[in-house]
Amino acid sequence: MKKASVKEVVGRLTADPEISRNIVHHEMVKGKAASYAPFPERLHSSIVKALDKRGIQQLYSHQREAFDLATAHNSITAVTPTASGKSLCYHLPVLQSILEDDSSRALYLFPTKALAQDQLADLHSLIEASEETILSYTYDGDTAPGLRTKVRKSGHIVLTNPDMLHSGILPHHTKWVSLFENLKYIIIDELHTYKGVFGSHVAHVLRRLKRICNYYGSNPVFICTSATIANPKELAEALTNSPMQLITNNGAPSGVKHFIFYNPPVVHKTFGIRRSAILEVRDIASFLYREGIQTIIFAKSRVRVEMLVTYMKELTKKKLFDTTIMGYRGGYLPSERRVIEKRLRDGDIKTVVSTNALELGIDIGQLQACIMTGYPGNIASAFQQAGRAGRRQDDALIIYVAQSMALDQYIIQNPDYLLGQTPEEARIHPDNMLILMDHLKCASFELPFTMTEMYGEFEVQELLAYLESEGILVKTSDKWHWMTDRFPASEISLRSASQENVVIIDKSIPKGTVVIGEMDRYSAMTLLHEEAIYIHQGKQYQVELLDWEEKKAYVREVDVDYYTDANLAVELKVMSEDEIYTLGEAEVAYGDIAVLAIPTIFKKIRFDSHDNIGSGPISLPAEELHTTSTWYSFNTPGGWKESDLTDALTGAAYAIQSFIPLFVRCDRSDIHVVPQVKAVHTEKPTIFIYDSYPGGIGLSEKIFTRWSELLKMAAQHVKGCRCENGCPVCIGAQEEGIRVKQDVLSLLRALNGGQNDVV
Amino acid sequence: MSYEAKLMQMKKLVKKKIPKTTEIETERKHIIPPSPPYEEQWLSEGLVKEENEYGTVYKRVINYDLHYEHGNYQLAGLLHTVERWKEAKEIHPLSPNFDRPLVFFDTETTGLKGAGTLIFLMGFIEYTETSFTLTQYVLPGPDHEAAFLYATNLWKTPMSIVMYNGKSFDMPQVQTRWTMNRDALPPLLKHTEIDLLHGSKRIWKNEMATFKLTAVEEEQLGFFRDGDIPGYMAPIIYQDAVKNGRAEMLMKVLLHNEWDILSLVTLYIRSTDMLLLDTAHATSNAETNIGKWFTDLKSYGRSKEILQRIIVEYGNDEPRAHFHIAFILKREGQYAEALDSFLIAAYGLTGRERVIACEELTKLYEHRMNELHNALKWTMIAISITAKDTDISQCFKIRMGNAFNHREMRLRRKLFPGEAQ
Repeated sequence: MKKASVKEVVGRLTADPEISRNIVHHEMVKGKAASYAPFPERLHSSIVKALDKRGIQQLYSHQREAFDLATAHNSITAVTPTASGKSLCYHLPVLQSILEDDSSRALYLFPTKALAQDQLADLHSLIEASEETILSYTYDGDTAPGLRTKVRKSGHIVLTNPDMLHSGILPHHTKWVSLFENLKYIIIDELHTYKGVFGSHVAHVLRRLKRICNYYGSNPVFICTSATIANPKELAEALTNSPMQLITNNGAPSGVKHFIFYNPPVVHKTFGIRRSAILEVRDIASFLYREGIQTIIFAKSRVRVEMLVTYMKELTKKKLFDTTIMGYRGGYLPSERRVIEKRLRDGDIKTVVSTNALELGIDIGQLQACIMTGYPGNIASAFQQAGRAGRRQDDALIIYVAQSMALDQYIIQNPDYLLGQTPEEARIHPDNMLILMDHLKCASFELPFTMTEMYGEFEVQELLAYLESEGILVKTSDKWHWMTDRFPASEISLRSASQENVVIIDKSIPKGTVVIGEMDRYSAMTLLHEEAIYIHQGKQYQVELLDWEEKKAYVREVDVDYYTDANLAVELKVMSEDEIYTLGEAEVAYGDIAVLAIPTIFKKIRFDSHDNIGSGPISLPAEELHTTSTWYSFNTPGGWKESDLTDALTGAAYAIQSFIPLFVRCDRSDIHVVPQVKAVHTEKPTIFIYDSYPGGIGLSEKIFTRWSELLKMAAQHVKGCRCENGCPVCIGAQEEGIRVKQDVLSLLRALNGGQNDVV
Repeated sequence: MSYEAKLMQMKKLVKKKIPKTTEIETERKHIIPPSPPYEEQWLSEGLVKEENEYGTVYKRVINYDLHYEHGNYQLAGLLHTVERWKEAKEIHPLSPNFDRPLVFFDTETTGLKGAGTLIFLMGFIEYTETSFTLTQYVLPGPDHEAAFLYATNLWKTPMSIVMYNGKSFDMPQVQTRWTMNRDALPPLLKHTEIDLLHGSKRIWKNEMATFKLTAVEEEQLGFFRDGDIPGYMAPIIYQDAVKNGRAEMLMKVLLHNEWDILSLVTLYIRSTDMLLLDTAHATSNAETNIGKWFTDLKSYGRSKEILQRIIVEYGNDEPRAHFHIAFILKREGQYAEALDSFLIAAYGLTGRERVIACEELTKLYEHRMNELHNALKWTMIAISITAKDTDISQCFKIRMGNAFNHREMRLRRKLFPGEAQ
């Protein structure tokens, strides 16, 4: 059978009436030719030889620009879509520096251990082709003890992750003298993943790294590579506290991209429920499989990946040993993954179903089509996923299949939002006092601060004095010395902001209990209460026991079709009002608040349909959280009763909450929206939005200036929703016979200054 | 007020500056730090002040005569111990380097690991033909670290240093502190390291539940501490002495350290006696351990001698001795004798060693004695015990099980060619 081209398949797809009537939007994005630049003259002959063996005789323009800037000692950030040869942006200057001076060292940072191990293979093959002796190693928890000394002393290139740098390298810097004395380059790959709390922590780890480098007399250049986000330069500068040059002129070629927006048909008009996206994806993917188009399907959870794989394998069940359809997700063995990656590159696998595990820079070559099961949560991820399709100059097909959720439906109604090339900002907030203080302790442990020293951009002498008063530091004639038997790095996890974390212990195998993660205690109240479904790397676990005293949650792996959502009874107290402005007749403020939270009950909610299928009580003590918040307070519109306002405000808050990820790049759980009919502080109806992490991570600060936009978007969406009386897509599921939706709409209309064009 | 609330209040105190291009500190001048404010209090507890070009260090020096007794041993015994090593001409991890002075060394630190952990006490015992001297150096405060390190001879004279767990703890700590002061100090020398924790584990394997130094003292050296502070208290006591200036408790840490080092001397005497004397009153288990250790060090002659002595004395009651000597016999080509010893081991032992003994029997029967029926018989026995034994690890079980199954098939093919397997 002759294989169809993507173009032909797009034609057939749009001609099929069963499919085409659900296609809401079809758009073609033009391709572009490659832009090349010759090898730099100074490029070492061994590197030229290695590139030649890979069939590379010239560079893409961005690779050349990266080389020129980095070798002239400029820190750079290169924005590179999937498969544009981004690793050469840093390999070339690094290898050049080592070939020019054998004592040179480089440190590569990847967000996860797996990615570092992946990239090592790529680097090895390049070095091997150069026929030079350059030693490169990964350094992480898996590194054999016997090898560690060798890595420290003689590894030219060390590949690691921020967590290892934080607790395994920096506190032991005296063992890494030859690295820190000769460090020429620090590579930060996948820059865009360093956002939110994690990014804020990593920003401090890098400040500590720079401080140690300075102590040993090196001044390394940073090379960052990032997927497309709105603010790569700003993020890189905030993360590294160094000025950056931005490289955006991507020279890699791309073909025509066909974007198809597909909305499953409505099956239940009253509740606005649509046919399951999974089933639609199965049908479309089966069509592409039969047409011989190599396809990647993204699904949001492990369960859905496995469901889709099972459905899809129906196509091949009559063939023996057919493995042209495969799943790929966290939880597979590394060796298993390597095989799948290779077979994808070789084209043996026709269809792969993956979680976002394949979003990151794992080399699987380029496929022809990509199907997204639902909106991945932010534009940058959507771009990454879409970027998996498209072989050089060939056409690529990207199909977005919407689920019934608010964000998904918004995207399908507003394709320009996704295609408009305005990905979100990735924000970090190194100013968070708790995070700052944690790392100030680590930095003090690593090297005593002098009486005049700054820490990164921060003046910290008063904070050091505070640590002295707490008995952690001792002040001598010229320095602040660490003086306790604690090892601060082990008490601080980069993946969370509060200090006392709940450890999550998997006891699925009675004799082989393992710690699989940890969570700050504030989040733990709503996510790790007993009977909660905790999802970890796509696996579902049920919490069997939460030992709040010992801060341990015992979980067991389960396979269920629901998740849990806990209700928090929340009291808010404004501690300081830092900024304020008026918006029409309303007031918008920003400041610090104290949140007293008591979890009350939890609900079990079925995936996809979002039906409430059960509930139970939670008995945990109240927790206090100090964080940053923005709040919007307004006068009760004329003619409103307080009881009506309560329901309407709750519905409006629900709608607002679901849109926040469109404004700031964060997970739904990073931020909370709390409506109050009469807030203590303002004595008016008020909507509070606050960061879920102690000290705040800059999310509410960002929303502070964008309330009017947020309210407008919420109003438009609620109005545009096809349900009659409110549904999980817009204002949350409502009891039968109550017409809250009208109230929410008129409230939102009032909040938008009564503009009729809005609602 | 909670920690979090306090921090939120301090938010206003943090000011920021725009990043400028990093300037590298090129020169760090070393200013001699002033003596700490609590100096009088510390010295009044019996410490002696010493100054050098880097600052101040406090010392405590104690002399012992040769007949000083610590537990069951006199310090003087060490003179014989060193003579024994000279005569033995063994390349052994416990043997001193005779070109270097032999010292006994122990540290106390403010923590367990990392660049923020300080050494605050270093004690050395050195000796001459007529006396033993303990010198303890105490860190007056963290700013005097260079002076404290410099006061020792660690940069001046290469030494043979006897320690307890020093290879993985004390010496790396010293290395770390030296690196933290590398701008000021001359480089640290490479010393010969003798680690008695390693030695104790080899010698008393299977008969001691823990190898904490106090346990070794009580069980092997006849020394019982009275009024000792537990080692984990030492960091807290030092911190308190620095923060509050009081040094009474710190002197308890010095006593603790003194006992540690005295025990190092007597443990070195005891360990050497057990290794090199055949009249050292050891258990048959410890003697077998020693024999095995010499095998591992490729000192087969000495190993065989020790194991034979055990066999003469205990016969089949110490099957481990037979197990280990069998490997030496096999190495020497005495297959029949090796076979006998492995048989005693296979009947007398349990666990991992029994499985290995069976494997050796099958190998010898198959390849050396050409007794295929016996080889098959022992393979079947091995398969059965490997499957049943609950003490051996799963990994070992699988690996050995597979090997035995392969062997069984091969043997059956050899014995019964042409039959369907």
